[in-house]
Amino acid sequence: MTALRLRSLRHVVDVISVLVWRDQKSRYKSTGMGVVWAIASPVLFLLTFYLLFRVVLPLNIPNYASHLFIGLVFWTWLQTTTMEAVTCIVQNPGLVNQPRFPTVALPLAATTSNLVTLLLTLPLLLVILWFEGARIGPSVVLLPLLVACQFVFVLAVAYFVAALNVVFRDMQYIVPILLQLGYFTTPIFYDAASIPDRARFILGFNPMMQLIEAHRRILIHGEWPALAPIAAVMAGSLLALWFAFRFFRLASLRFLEEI
Amino acid sequence: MEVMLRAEGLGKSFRHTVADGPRTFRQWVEGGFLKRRGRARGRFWALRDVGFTVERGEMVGVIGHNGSGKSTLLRLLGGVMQPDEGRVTTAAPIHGLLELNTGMHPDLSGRENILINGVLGGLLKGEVQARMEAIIAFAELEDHIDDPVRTYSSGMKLRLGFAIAVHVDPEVLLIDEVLAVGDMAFQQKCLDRIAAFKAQGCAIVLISHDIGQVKTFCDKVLWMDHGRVRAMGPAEEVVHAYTTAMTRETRRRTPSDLPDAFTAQGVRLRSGENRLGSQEITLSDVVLLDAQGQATNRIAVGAPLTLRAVLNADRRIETAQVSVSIANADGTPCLDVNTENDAVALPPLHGSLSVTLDLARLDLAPGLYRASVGVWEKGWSHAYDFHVDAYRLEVTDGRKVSGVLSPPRHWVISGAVS
Repeated sequence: MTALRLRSLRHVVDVISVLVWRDQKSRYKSTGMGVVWAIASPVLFLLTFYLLFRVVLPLNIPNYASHLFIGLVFWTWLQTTTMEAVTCIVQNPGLVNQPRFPTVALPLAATTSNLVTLLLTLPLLLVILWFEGARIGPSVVLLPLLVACQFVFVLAVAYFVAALNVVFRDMQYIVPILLQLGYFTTPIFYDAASIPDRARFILGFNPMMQLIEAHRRILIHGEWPALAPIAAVMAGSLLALWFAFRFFRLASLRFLEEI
Repeated sequence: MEVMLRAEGLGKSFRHTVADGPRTFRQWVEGGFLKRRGRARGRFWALRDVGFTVERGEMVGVIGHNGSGKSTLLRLLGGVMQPDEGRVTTAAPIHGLLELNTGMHPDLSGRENILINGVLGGLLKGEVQARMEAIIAFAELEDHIDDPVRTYSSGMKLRLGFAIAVHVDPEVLLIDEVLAVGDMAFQQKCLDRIAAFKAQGCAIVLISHDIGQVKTFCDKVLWMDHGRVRAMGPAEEVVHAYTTAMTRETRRRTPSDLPDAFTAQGVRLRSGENRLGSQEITLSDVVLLDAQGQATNRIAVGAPLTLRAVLNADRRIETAQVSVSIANADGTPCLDVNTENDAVALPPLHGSLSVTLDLARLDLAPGLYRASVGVWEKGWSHAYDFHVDAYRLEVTDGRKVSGVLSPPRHWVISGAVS
């Protein structure tokens, strides 16, 4: 029996890997420019915001391009994953209908695939950092930990919205609105330091704010980030993942009745 | 024998789709965050008290009309839906031959899609790689395997999907209708493959509309009716009972007060005698045409024959099936074709629609024949209009032939072989 279980675990891993592979491959295959598309969207946002807040309404944030790009790519990971996860069950009735198909792989594959897209934009991030004279120090060893932390958080959100969309069919219209709100309450194009203290206390509960701040500290200033908020985000995300996963498993018993 | 799959007292209920609890977040908020309503209210049983076993090497057919609970049963067996009552136990992992091309990506090549679909179908990556060449060979796609799947014809896609699906070495296999499509040669190959699975000891559950197929392949047949088992037993018996009931259903729906009609050949069509069906769609202007397009009731052996009919529907009907059969004077069926087996889909019917069947040649032996034409409910549950033996056809030839066929032929007589 354990052999069977081991095999199904290996199978889940293989399912995730082919789904990610299919997603990445198909995204760049039919276009002449290929992987360039992966960085096209963040670069366009970078240029727009740079023009807006460096020229039109200057915010006077040092190293603004680096500041902005870090915010954009890490937020994009959350945003695109959530958008894909919310429809991942209803758009794949054929897979959900397949005996023994592990539906738990669908949100996991969306999270992983968008992490791959993020990794593809890293070289560009390094170029921008270098161009603006960033000082990367030994604190860079924390970077994988931050990415792992965000992975847990994004995955929790993905499981939650995927299951919720099966219960309430209009989640796919509500989620973009919530993401939009998150976009503006997270210091992506502005700086967390410019938030008044009282608002900062509330907005500080936003894990994305803590994560993006920590990334900036490490990548732009070469400093060690405050560890307590990161630890809190990690603990909170793990707890959220546990709940979201259980909710997903519970909802998955009824997926076919609802789609 | 070893039982591979066992269903005990299976039951499944569904909510009625309308007006039962909030379906969207907005409704939920507007309704004052009321709890979504529980199970007891407004539910109906799609399936109840279904129990049977499938042994190693046994093939069980499931027949029944659309909406009889066949698909729900298949999903419960596959474990992708949870029963509200009863349980399913299996001695080995279940594989499905259900939707074939799910997960394929049109921009990727056939080879890449084999890897994707193989893994999504239950294999490990390494196992798919090991079977890659066998799958390509089975699909007969050696020349196109590195082209993107979007360039494939629908037949090629189907072959690819089937080839992947049958390379899983199943011990318990669920099959849903997939055999009804594809060209004849490939269909035969698929049937052979399934027969081979069975011979190797695979337990199979086949859901099919094709009564003939069920009769040929299955050891045991389960007849589902309104979510319950109407009959279960040896294939021959259950299929016979099912077809008899189907005729009875058609007779029950046949109106008794329908005025008589006459065919172009002057044959009287009398409701309940040689005209059966609910008349929701009616058949009219059925004619047999010769090669010149002239109405006829006499053709020469080997000549082409065209049958044309007009379907009339007063209210919209989503789709239907049309059947044409020809029997000889003894009543022996010589030809029996229909739109489902020939994979022809009728568009939604409202008003009238002309249907033409061209037979390139009819090599029947000379003699008198009668043709029957019918238009049926899409799942064959009853006839809308069925004209039984109402169209006369005489096949003529200078020669006398006994038997059923008279194909083009010549004899060769040569000197004695030393």
